[in-house]
Amino acid sequence: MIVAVTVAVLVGLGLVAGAGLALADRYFGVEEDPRVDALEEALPGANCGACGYPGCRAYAKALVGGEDVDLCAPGGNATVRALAEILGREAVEVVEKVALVRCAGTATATSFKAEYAGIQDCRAADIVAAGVTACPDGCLGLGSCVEACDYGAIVIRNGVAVVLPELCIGDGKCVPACPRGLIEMVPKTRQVHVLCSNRLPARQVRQVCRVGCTGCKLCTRVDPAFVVENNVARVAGEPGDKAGEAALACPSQSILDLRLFSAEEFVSSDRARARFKELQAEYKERKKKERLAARKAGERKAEGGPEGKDRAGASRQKAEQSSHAGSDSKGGGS
Amino acid sequence: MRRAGRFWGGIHPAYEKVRTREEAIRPAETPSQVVLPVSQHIGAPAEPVVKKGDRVLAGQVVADAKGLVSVPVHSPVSGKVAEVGLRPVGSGVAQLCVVVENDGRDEWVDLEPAADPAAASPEEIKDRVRKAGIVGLGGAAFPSHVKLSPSKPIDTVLLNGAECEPYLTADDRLMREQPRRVLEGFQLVCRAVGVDRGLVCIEDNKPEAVEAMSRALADFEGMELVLLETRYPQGGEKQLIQAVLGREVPVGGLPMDVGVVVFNVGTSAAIRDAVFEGRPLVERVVTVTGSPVRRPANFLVRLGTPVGSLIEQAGGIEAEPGKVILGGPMMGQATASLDVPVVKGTSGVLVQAPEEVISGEYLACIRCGQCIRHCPIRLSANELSSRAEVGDWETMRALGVMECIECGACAWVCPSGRPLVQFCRLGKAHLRRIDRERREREARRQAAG
Repeated sequence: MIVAVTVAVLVGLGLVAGAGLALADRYFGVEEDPRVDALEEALPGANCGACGYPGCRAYAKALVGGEDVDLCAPGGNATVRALAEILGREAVEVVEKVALVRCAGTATATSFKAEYAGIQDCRAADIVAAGVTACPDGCLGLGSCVEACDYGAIVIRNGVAVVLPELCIGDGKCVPACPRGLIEMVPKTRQVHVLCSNRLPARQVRQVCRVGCTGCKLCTRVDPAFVVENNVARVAGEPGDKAGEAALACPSQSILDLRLFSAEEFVSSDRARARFKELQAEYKERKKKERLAARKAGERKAEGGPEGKDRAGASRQKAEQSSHAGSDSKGGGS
Repeated sequence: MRRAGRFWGGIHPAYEKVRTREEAIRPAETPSQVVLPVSQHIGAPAEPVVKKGDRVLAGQVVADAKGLVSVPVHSPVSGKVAEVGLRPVGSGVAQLCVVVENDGRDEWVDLEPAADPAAASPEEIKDRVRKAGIVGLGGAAFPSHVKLSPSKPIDTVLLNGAECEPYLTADDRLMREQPRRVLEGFQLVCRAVGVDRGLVCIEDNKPEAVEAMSRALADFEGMELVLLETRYPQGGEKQLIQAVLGREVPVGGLPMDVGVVVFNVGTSAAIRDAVFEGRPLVERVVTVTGSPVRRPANFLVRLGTPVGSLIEQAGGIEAEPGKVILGGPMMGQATASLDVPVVKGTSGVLVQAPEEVISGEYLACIRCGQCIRHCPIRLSANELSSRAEVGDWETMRALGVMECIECGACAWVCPSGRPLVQFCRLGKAHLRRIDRERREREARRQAAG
């Protein structure tokens, strides 16, 4: 008897509660756009916050409300297309990005300044005498960016942070983690990067770092995509075919060509550096030969050509000679 | 003579002032080259008005103030501008500096003293202080003309002669040797803010300074000497006001919110020179001290002098130093280079032996609460540090870290050797970054529509 009553009461309670819930859903239920689920499914689910929303679902909801489809950095173009398709909007082309640490000043490349025994955090080190190495703009190497990255895409190699592009999802969380603003989001397709942020004048750069950009502007002459601002080169436009040459021409080895080495190799491997030096020497030799050939051709032309052409040829030759001399002396100095 | 009350917390570190307290202030050698950062003060950096190759006279403006909270920088020597460019400064970062090659002739611009200094109007005083590039010489380097123009009614001005920072004796010597100069400046300060009550506050571990100042005070009206208990950080603005007047500066507020303005004795002397002689701020007293220093001294130093040359003039150092600090051991900043220049805020150069340097190792918090008991602001440094360790910056803000005066009493008492004040500084730096990012985001949003 007692069992029957219990069962009856519980079943009765269940029915009443169930009916209540059904009614509540009917009258108080919040309408949610069915596309939100689909959008969330299409997003990478990293919940990284790079879009500016707290998590993928929040962005999905915002998308239904009219937010732009191109805000998901980890998703890249595939995600943008998927989102646009669900929303019936026009897909836009986004530039997929990866993080880049603009410094290659490893413990061996830079001169040592002081021991730092304080809190192991880059910003803390930056507050006091600004780090261990003598470069005031270089990587502090204490790994605040490593901690900021949820994907293990940044490693410290010999005192410098290096981004592993194959692991980087491009959420940009590491960018504000660096107190010196060394990390930049760069297009994934870009192959050539300047790995230096030192704003000091050339003479002082030489004192603090072997691979520091001196702002000599040689690269800007090879490829106009390079610009020198505040004494340091950076890639401003889209590097052209000659960008690789700029890397080889750089007297301070500050420019990385990803077609030759990965960032990790270029920054920390002595072998890669030695190989790069060989390549640079070959390049210089090749350039020298080209110039000699050009000069000979110019002379031949000058012999038979009209006077005006001769003058132009001679002055060009002169300019070439002087620029050659300039780059030579720089090469010898490095 | 009145005795002041107490402020909360505080500590009694080893003062170590005995090394230099009997050393009279003597002029340091003028260096062959001075490096003058354009930002030696809190506020907008000055803008260079000279270029490479220009000849400048001593006292000439080389970088002019930009904006209201900013002061000009003057050349302390005559000579040629060697460079206007980035140079590493005390904080370790590269900063825009004007470098002047000293020609050794020490030719000055024509100084224009006030016609009648004793009758200078408040406006004239403020104007002269601004043009002379004067900032708070106690270490904070806040532009003095801004402090002289409070937006709230002031009833008391305090002359800060506490010099609570261990090792430093620059203010002590100044009060002992030139009490009249200091008090004349203080009189000008009182006049500029329209107050007839000036309190001269000195810690009781400087009996000679108290003696000299009280003798000189006989010639000045409306001023009174207040004896302070020797306790660190007695010279902190808010602590001084609490001890002397029993008033508490509100959270996020300034001394003027409780009707007070505080001036350091060195600043006061500089203000006197600006009005009485028309001299800009081009030199200051710097204590060079520490156990490895052979002949510790108090130097009158031209700004821009490299720190290393001062150490050499103090007899050099006996052994490889462990640490070189600009300022005192509590509030000063370690420097990694001896080429950095003395700036307006450099009150001392302290060299520590390797065995005096505290290692970076620290232990877990044992919840003893010493840091809370000694914090003059009554913050909970224990809680703040554990928040900093996990990067919970916003909770640090809620716990009041922005009110931290970075005196270091917490770290000094911590039995686990935790770098508590460094954690607070880190939290403040992060919160400033967060605020900046938020402002930038909002600006972008507004720009976008």
